[in-house]
Amino acid sequence: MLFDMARSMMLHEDLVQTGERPVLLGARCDECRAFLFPRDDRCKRCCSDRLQPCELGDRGALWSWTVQSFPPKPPYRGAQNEQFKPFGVGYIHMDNTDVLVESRIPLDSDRPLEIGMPMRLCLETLCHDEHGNAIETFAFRAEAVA
Amino acid sequence: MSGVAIIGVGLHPFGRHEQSGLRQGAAAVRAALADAGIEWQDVQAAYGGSQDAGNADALADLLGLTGIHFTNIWNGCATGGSSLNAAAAAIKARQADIALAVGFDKHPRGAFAPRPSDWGLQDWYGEAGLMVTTQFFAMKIRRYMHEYGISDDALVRVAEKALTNGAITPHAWRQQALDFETIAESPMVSDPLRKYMFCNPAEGGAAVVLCRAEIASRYTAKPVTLAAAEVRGREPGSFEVFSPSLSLERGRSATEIAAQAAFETAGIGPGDCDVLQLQDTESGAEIMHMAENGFCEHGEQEKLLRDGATRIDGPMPVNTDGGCLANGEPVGASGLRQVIELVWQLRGEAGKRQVPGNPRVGYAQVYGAPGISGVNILHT
Repeated sequence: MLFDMARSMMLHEDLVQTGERPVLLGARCDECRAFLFPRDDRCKRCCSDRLQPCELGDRGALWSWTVQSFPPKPPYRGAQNEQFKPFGVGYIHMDNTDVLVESRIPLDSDRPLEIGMPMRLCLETLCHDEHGNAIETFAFRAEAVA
Repeated sequence: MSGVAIIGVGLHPFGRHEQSGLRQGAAAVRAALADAGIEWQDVQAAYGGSQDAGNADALADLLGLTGIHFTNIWNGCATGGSSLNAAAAAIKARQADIALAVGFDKHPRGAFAPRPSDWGLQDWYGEAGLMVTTQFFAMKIRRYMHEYGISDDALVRVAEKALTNGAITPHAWRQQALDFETIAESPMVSDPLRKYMFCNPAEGGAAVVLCRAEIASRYTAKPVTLAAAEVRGREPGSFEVFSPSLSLERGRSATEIAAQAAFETAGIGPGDCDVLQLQDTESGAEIMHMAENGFCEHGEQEKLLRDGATRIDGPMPVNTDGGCLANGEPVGASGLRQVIELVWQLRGEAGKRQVPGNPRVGYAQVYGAPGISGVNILHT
């Protein structure tokens, strides 16, 4: 093992199951059946504490969106000043659920964002820490057109 | 239960100033006391707040240490609504005959920089760049435009009307009217919202003196009745700011709940209101709030705005002083500015921006993070 090699780390654990293909993690309420993201220990809708961890999948449809065209203030950890590149932000309606998840949308394709377009979960490098490790966060990209 | 009347209002103009936010708040209180013809010593209870300019109860050092209970209030941009609600409640409960609601602020330039933990959220949400209020406003109006057929032109018309009204409001921060094309071609900030469609964080102070309705005639020949001052939070599924996720099923928004409660309390309906102040953090908010408060159906705004219905000379004037778009938003004071404008309109003291036909009923709605709305209904 090469311990001196820079690695990738997640910005926050418990949001995504990483592996060959990332999967978004959430919870589901045993009482009212609501899906929650991120995982929590109490249901916002019915106040129940009977929640089960669940997977929210990796696909959905774009429900609404905007473009973040200026660098957010701290605690934003992405690039500031001239290094900042605008990024998309949207709510993704996760397939087979009733939950909309807010996410970054990298603007690295020429396809204009449109409500209803199919989206796929990915990991995006947000920044690097002081050891050179890439800090990754979940994001969604438009599905490649067949 | 006692009725509540407004007997004095005072504003320290919004904008950018040398003075501290606290001193701008004190100036607003002195103006309101003078308007009511009373002294600070006559005030028996006070409620107020600011986000970035200090503790409201520190105003006592500037106004005089009279020993009254001065309660600090904080509910985001809805702080003014909560302060007025609390002051009115104190009078109704006979804890005070005369009470004060005050708000002031002085924000750094640029968008707000909230801390996730202050809002019950995990740090990653802010670190990933998702905790920016402008994103929420843009995504909420984009979905609304998609569902109800609202066009980009409607967003422009709201800003155009706000700046037109600001240009005839002596105390407004933005006093230059801009034409349709200038607004429509201004830089995109948060797609679909452009530069002139957003209000800016600002500075200023606003104060309202209330009293038991029975004694109002001692202080003024033109008392204005505060018929409702209701504040409500959100229900599951409402689309509010700072939401890492939402339910697909929409619930009632804080504004819808507060509006319904206020109409019930006042015993009137939307059709009875002659002049409206609706939270216009950006153009889209005013459009959505027209319907959420019950003044039109969802989607009807497109035609109403095209027809000029919300102009000062229209059938439902909205934000006669230019609203947040022309005045900026010192969040502690903003909700009270709406109420002050209503008082001036109902007294017939609004100068060039006076709504014609002697308006008798005014309606004000303020909205704040993370989903709280305050509605005030006033009448002469």
